[in-house]
Amino acid sequence: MTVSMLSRRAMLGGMGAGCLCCAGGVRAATGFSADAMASEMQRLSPLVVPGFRPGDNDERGLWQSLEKAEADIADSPLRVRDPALEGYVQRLTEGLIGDNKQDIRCYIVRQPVMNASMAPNGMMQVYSGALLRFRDEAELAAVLGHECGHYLRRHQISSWRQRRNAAAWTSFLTVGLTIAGGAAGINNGSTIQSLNESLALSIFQYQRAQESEADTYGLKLLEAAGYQPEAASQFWRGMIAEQSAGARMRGQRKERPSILFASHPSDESRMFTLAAEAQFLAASGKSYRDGRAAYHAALSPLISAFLDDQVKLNDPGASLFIIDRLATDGWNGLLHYQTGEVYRLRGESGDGALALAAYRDAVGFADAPAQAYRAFGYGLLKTGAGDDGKAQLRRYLAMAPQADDRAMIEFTLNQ
Amino acid sequence: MTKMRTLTLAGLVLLAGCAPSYSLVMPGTPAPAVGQLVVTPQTAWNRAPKGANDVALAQVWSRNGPNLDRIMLIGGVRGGESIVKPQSKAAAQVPKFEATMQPQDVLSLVETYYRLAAGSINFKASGLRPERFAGQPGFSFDYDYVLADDVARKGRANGAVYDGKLYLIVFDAAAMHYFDAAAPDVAQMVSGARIAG
Repeated sequence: MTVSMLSRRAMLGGMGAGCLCCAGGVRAATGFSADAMASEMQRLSPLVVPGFRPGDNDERGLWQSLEKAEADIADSPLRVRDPALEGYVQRLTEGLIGDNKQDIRCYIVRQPVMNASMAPNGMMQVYSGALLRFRDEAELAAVLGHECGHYLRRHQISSWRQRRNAAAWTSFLTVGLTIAGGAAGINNGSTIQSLNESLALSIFQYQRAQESEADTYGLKLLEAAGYQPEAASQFWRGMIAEQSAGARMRGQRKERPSILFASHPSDESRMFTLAAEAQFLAASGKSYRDGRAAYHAALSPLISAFLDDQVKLNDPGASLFIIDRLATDGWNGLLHYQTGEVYRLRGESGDGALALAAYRDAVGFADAPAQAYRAFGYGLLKTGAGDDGKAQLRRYLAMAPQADDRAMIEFTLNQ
Repeated sequence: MTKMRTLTLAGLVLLAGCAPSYSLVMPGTPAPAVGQLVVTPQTAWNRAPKGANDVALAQVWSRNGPNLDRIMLIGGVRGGESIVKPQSKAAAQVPKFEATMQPQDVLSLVETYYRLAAGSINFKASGLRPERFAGQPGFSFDYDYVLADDVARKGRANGAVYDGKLYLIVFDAAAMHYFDAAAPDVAQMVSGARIAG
């Protein structure tokens, strides 16, 4: 089985979808002066008219491919078919993008990673892993605003053309230099390689500039819609902390990808720039909202499934970080149960006891999922507490009489 | 110049000989043991070459290519070992097997394997049940999932923990045609599996 399979959806990155991606790389040389920020905000205006349809042949071809990809995503088993949640994200996006709202369609995709993307035809994808990580509506709006920034500035199509032209130049220069070198009896291999690398670097530099612009434009939309502007930098601060926690738990260091070959500015650079720009925007004294209650109400029916996907990746640092953040407003049976699952999957020395303690906490809550009793029961059995363990397994069966593992539980009870 | 060409050709032939390739597993006779696990296929299978992430006690077989049907045989992984090589730089890891694991824990291990090593997202296991395996008290469960290609896949795992070691056969295939086509042979292999002394 291949580690990752190329699908039409996976090709979107190469077909002009701008994405949020957490990445490392260059710390942008950002000027933080109020004048520079005011001028940049002023400069950023839509390059797409409402109801936009492509006129050029090449862009029309790209749109046709994207329409096919969108049809696949709409029918994909990985699409989260929850009209309430999809409608919520759609309405939020429409509130941010304003006049172009009829051109945007939002899809929630079940992928336990942090990402969102926007295609030039207005197809937006928000991953379930992203929704699990936002503290409030303002953070979600910050990411949606970033994607709207890509759309309004036509980043995807210009980036696609730049990549295509670079590829054409690479071929042209390679052939030209080979012919010229051959005629002169010179091996131009290193020159060709050097030119290719220069073109690749120029593409990454171009993409980083677009990401920075989308960040700023997104912040402008966020503020205009009445959300706390600092939500954008706060989101990146959370991402950095989560990645550090994930690496630390495995005895590693947070990965820092190559400086030059990064398609996005570093997370730290984005956080600092967005914080400075938010400070500039918030200077007006206007009052803003974070939409925390609305966000949690919209997400709550799916939080169990999304958290389950995350915990089952067995990335204990990140999972515990996310659970702690979800517990900001209070612990419940689900969060304690999933904490136990994190330790059970990690399986290091002492984790059995930590898991057992978490399951014990979980079943102390009336809202504990039935699986918490099963996990608690098996946890107790491992410690030799057979009677107590079996009692918990019986409670599991009482709570979930139709459980599809009833035969296994009954087998254990009869041991 | 001719000598140089001959040497180059000889080098290429040698390299081709070294390249990992599939090998045939003939039906009707016990296949070479995977660790201590011995199975007897009723149809021909192709043994996949060792991948970079495969451990010594695991083998992958397929009839029509691993994207269409596949079994992975685990022949006695010890406590503290994994069914795949750990990714040194990844925060997310397939759990290591522990001798104290209950069937529910092995199910979680297999599920995380599918989510991480295979890239499935909506893996859903069901029907965990007791079932003898290789002459030992064991377990079985079913699952379905899709990968990024959106093809619906089904799977079944049979295994047992014996003498502190994990013995397992995980079978997965495209839900359309391939699962049902290979399932009878896999069921025969499961029922005839034995642990060599």
